[in-house]
Amino acid sequence: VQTLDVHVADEAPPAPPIERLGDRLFRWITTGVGLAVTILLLVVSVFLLAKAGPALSKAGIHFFTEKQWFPDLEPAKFGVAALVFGTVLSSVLALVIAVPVAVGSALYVSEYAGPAAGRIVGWLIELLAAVPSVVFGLWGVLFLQPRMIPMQRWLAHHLGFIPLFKNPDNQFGGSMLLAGVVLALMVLPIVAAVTREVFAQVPDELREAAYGLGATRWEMIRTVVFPFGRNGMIGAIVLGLGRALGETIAIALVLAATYDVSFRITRPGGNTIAANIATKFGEAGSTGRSALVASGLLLFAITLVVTIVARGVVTRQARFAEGRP
Amino acid sequence: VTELLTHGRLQRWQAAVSAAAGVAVAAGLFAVTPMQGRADFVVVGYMCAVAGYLVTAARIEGRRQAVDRFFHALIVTAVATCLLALGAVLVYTAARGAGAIKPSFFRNTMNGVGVRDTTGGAYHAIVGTMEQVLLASLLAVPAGLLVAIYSVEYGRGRLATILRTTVDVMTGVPSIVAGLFIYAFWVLGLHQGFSGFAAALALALLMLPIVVRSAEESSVSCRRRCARPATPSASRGGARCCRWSCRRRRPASPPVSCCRWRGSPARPRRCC
Repeated sequence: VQTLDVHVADEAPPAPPIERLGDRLFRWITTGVGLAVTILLLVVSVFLLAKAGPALSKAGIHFFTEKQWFPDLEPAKFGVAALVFGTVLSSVLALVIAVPVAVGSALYVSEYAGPAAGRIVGWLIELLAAVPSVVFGLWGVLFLQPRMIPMQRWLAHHLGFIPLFKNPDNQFGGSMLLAGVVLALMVLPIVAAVTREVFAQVPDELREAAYGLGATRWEMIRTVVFPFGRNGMIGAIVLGLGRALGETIAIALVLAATYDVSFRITRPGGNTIAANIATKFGEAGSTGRSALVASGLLLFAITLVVTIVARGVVTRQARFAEGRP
Repeated sequence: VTELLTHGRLQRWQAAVSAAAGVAVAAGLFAVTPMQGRADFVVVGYMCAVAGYLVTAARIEGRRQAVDRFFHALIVTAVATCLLALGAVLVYTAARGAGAIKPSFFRNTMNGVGVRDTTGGAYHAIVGTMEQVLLASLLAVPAGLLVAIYSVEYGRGRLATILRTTVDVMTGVPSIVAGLFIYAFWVLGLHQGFSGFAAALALALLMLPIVVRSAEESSVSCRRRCARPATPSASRGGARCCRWSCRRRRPASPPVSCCRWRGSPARPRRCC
């Protein structure tokens, strides 16, 4: 059949398309909208840069090294050092917690569960993505925070020799660990969904081959599923990272906002760029708002890099799975 | 025969007994050592039960099978954790919120309501949410569809590359940055002030890439499904370009409306 198709195709090259007035008009409209969207985003970015300018010129290089955030005082003293640190730390914590759970549940759906159970579990995990972030924040502060205090105390008392869990003040509450757990719940669905898709692309022939060589199910996963889906898993993790970096309201509700750089994740305190914008925006003066816009620009730059990396990795995985170079 | 098949395999009753033994060990630990607490017991008991089960499995079936069972248990635990968290969020929110859901919640606003008053409602918030989401959809859905059509049907050359990159970038924009975009552009830059419309603009910025991506996906998959077998005949029949979905074809046109057919039939290219 294949040869016949090619033969026919060679004999009769396709006729050139006829483009009528409606077609042309339609093409113009879609091209115009595409152009407009691109230009709009460009213009908006230019405005953002312009509005960040005053604060950036006022703070100079201290914008990146200063930890405190008092942009409206005279002399103004503000910088994003603590905010960037908190943003990265909370996101990394979230990933450390979420990725094993997400990969585990993706494996359950693709390798262990029957079709019906798999569909139900997949659906339930997607339901987690439908919960608005403010609900996660309220739940985190009202439900999870009191229930996590004993656990954090246990960590501080028994694993306190690890600097990460050390808590000399013996105070517990809105800590980075709590923020990490709440963020983990929020990035879990996206990581699980992407990894599940990647695992679903693993050719059954490879699975059968591994079983045929006497592998147990776990050995099959380790030798076939993981190597095949490695790129996709990395992409999923980076996508989750992008989601966690920009999360705002849940963090603003959960964290006891302080501006320090500390790895003690059981101690209350810390802040992120996004949460800082949300909490400081209302009270900020003109320099304050400019400073917040500048920090937002930095957040945008960070997520931009992360998104582009994630897209690249996911595209490569898709090509790999389809057997294209 | 049954004995032959089950010989050297972990039986259900063996698994159950060893898990129960693990729980018993945990209970003993809680009785003797200073460990206490219900949640602690659940966690430690579960770990001990799994440990007992795995030790028995290793004795009967060998190391490889035990490792397999260990990861099986781990994965089931991961799923259970997910579902537990989801359940906790849903149940707690419903339980705490149910008391506030009464007719006045939908009728009253928070206008002039003090902190201690119990008369307020969310009427204004509900109306505002619907208003802004509707406005944002009106802006983002048509624009997003057109962008998707452009990208799938005409998308070649530099503009298309730039547009796809733009949409990629937009998918990663955090919501707070979208808000700042509109604040810097609409509120400060164009001196329009804070408004519900400005909020709708920010929402539209967040919606657009999602609309584009899903429209592209459905359009491309639809085209892939219909393009393959019929394309040569379709193009020889003078199929017109630029029909963007199978469903939107004209009744008079050939069975599958597709773009100019180039390359091999297995791989229809982007065209027009």
